[in-house]
Amino acid sequence: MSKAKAALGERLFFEPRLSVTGRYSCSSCHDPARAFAQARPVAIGATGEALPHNAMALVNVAYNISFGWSRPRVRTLEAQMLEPMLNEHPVELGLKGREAAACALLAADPAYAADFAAAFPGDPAPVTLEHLVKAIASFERTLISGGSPFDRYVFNGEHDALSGQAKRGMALFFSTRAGCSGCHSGFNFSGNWRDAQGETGPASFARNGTSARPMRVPTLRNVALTAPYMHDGRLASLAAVLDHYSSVAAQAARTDRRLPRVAFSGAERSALIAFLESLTDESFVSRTR
Amino acid sequence: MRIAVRVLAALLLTSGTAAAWANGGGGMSMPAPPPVPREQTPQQKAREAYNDGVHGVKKADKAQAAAAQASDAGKKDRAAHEAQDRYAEALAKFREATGLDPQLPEAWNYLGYTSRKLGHYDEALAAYDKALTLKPGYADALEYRGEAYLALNRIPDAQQAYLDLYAGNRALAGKLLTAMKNWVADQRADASGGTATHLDELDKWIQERAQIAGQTAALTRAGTAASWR
Ligand code: HEC
Ligand code: HEC
Repeated sequence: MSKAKAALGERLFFEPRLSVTGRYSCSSCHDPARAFAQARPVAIGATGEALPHNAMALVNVAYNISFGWSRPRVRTLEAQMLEPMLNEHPVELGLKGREAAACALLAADPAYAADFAAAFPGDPAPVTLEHLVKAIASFERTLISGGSPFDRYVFNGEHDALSGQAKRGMALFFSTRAGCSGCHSGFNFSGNWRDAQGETGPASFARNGTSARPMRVPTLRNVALTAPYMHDGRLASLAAVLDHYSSVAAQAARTDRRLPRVAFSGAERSALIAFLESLTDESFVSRTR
Repeated sequence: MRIAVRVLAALLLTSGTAAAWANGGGGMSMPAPPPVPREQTPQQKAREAYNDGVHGVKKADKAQAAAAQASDAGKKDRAAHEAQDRYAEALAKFREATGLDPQLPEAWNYLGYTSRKLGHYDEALAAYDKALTLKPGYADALEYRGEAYLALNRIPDAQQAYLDLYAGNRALAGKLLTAMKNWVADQRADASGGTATHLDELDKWIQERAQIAGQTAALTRAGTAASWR
């Protein structure tokens, strides 16, 4: 992954010429100020069609084992990217059949021609769909978030980085009574991950009571910025998420034994929210654009 | 021609030794090596001295443990003396090894360890620093250096050593935290130790770190790509 490639990828991530309408880009659905998630429940494509799902946050995606809410088979950023680019039902960016035209458009732009040449040296015709995908994936791999108050508390030893309330929420989060860390685990609070040695286990999918089929356990880093929540954006706030987990505890048939067994008191709910808010990494959301 | 054969034999030996070294020494089933030529390289001699030193450290640690356990005063004394003697012998070996080959972080690390066991804390710190320069993030050296800081009452440095370890090696971080707990207990027992408020503060810090470590046992940055953080 070269600097030139990631820089080119960053430009392309915000490039509207990569859409059928000339007005849509990755950033239309993945807003940097919201940790690359989106404020609407389900995403809307370039031509106005609704997607079935909420746009995911892009946080430490380099370490994901699989991509997307419900499909364990999508296992690389490059493979994932073909979906928004080429999907037709519904259309997202709507590039299908227009790949060559879009590349020609970029190649005719001297700034892009120079950037592609720098990112892929030695290639006489560097502006290709494959290179475009590789460059955006390089950019995505730079989206690293690990500077939240939680990290400063745990890794830098700043013991006043968290409030007492957030610390109580943290203890609850990691307790078996609340059960949260049974699913939202590891440094990305998302289950298993990829590291220098490879994968630490299978990508983790689970049923938390929002759907009959298992959904990927999403990261909770920067989660305070990514409302609405769940695969279909059904819950508008973190308070609503905790009410959901409380109501799951009351149900006789629990979809997963890791889910909480007892409803949360008001104080516990506030503590958990304070903890989730401590996962917001200001340096991450202010780094791009 | 004869010279060429000699050189080749020496090269074979060097690479064989290097492979055994990389695998942590013994246990290799390799064809019998060619006869050992008289003149070893300084690197080979350094490794021999290092291996001798490690052997000595094992015996010294054993004697020290025996001294700690012995209830009979005479026995205790003899074992403690034996430990000191063996640490001193091993220290000499590590001095020799680092003199012959200054690029061996493991030898510097043990030079630090044996120096510390003999109470030479400044030399110990210098040796650990050297080991860590040669091998950044070297967890054993970080832990040992943390214990040396404790012995020198350099508490903020020991705390930083704990945090450095915590990111990459929870087991050794836990070991250092236990050493810190013991240090506090020793200071409290010793009337001339640090002021009570300082000890209370450190005690609180230790308890909070133990709690964090317990909660986040599965949460580690170890092994993730260098870009993480
Ligand atoms: C029309 C809105 C939309 C556009 C445009 C869009 N995405 Fe997405 N993105 C989504 C949605 C919705 C999901 C969740 C997909 C699913 O699983 O159903 C998603 C998921 C992802 C994921 C998976 C994240 C994870 O943790 O698994 C990545 C990576 C991603 N998008 C990157 C991109 C890139 C790169 C582009 C531009 C080439 C792009 N997206 C364009 C809506 C969009
Ligand atoms: C059985 C596994 C499991 C447990 C236990 C669990 N979660 Fe989840 N969590 C999930 C899954 C799966 C999703 C995604 C569900 C979906 O998309 O509909 C999710 C989604 C979330 C979201 C929304 C994230 C987003 O980006 O939309 C939040 C916030 C959350 N969980 C917090 C918690 C908290 C707090 C707890 C403990 C009280 C907890 N979870 C316990 C599996 C679990």
